[in-house]
Amino acid sequence: MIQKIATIAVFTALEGVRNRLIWVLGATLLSGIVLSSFSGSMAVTETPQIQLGVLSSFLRLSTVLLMTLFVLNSQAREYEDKGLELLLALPVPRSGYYFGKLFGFALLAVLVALCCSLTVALFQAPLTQTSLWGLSLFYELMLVIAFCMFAFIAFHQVPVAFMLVMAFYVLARSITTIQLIGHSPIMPSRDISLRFINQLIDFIAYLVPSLDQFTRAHWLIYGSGDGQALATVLGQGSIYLLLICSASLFDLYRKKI
Amino acid sequence: MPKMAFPPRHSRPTQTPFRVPLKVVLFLLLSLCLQALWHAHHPPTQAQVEDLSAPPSLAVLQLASIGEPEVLSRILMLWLQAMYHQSGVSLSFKDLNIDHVLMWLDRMLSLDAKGQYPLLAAARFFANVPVEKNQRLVGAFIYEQFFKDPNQRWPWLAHMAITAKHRLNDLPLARKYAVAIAKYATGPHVPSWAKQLEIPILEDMGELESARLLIGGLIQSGQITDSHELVFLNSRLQELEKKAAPLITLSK
Repeated sequence: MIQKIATIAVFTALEGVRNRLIWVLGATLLSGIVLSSFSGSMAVTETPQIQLGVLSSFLRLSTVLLMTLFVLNSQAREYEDKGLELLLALPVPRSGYYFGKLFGFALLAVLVALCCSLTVALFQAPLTQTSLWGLSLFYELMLVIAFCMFAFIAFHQVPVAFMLVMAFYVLARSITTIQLIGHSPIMPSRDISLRFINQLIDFIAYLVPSLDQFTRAHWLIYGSGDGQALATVLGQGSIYLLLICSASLFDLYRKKI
Repeated sequence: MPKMAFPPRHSRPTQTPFRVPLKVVLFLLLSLCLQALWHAHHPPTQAQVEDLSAPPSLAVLQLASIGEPEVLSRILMLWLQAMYHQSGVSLSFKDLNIDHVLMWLDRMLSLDAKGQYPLLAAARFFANVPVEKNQRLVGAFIYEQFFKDPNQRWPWLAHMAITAKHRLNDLPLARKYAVAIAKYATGPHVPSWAKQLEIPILEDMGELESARLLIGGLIQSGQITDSHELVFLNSRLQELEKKAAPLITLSK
């Protein structure tokens, strides 16, 4: 079983390499370096901080988009080419197929996170903070990858799945702010509709990970990443990954393929 | 030509009911519970007390708005509001950096000149700070902004006139704001009470003669057309004349 998963994983990772994902990643890193250098050259003071801030936020967003598009595209092609049906016709359980694909994408996520961390380290970021940032980026990418797989298994359509993934990502990154604004004391707290919306927001906050606490530029700029930040990334990342994997497997087993 | 034979609908194989392994269902339930527990035991969301930095230039903000400055203006307003109205954080209004707040509000108004929210926030929230310096700065800001669109922005200057009168006890300042409204907010939608705001201020200042002249001028100018309002103003004029009569005699 493990060997079968490993085989699927390796071929999934190879697909990324052969689809010029590495080239796109290289271009992204280069763009980030140029952009942050340009920003730094305009700054009068705090040049390294500005460069780190611009570079880290650019890399975070662009790698999330890159992996989202790659995973959805890969899934769509396999679905259209009947590769999924072929694989499931072999003595491979659906969970084996799922975890094979997930680990394959995870290998690519490791590569992406590692390259991004090394690029960030070029701009004088502290080593421990860079490691934390890189680990957090890996977890964030894994959550996005798992959610892409979940969305594609559910809808089998790239546009719908992409919109769903983006909505999830934006919501996960902004849910804390939305909660804060919603509970603002200047709002009319007696308003029933507002209370209902606030409760709905609180409920949604239970179901989405707090990605605003992941991969923060604050760690790199101010060196503020600590054990608690690491625990949050590991704890929340692992739990939510387990949740998405379970939901995806549930849907995959439920469907007639 | 032979007919193509399609199998009848009822002959299709019936879909087998799905079978999700028990392990997967258990994992799903377990992970849902774990997520809920994690969220419940995680420290509650608390905003950090951070200094409000000065805003970037208008050009940068316009660039960041991607062609939709009105939207960015509103988002910035919500952000600024959230910064100073956070539950769980005892952010005292006295601690706010009023200079930076006013700079942000100015940027928002530059992004969306028709928006009233920044002025409302200035008049209702930031001018409520029980610090005289802040109240005066907010008043000066609203006074400056008023001249850019008097017919739309008069309510906030009227609010500041009342603030100046009752909180700052600075009647000359209140009169200055009231005079500006009367002089520049001349649109048809500006209510007459706003244009007459100077009268009670003059009365409080003891300048009864000026108030009398102002009411007389208003009635004679023909700006007041409502009969009830004319009756009211005439009665006020008579009252003022009664009050002013002994003073005029004494001065003679």
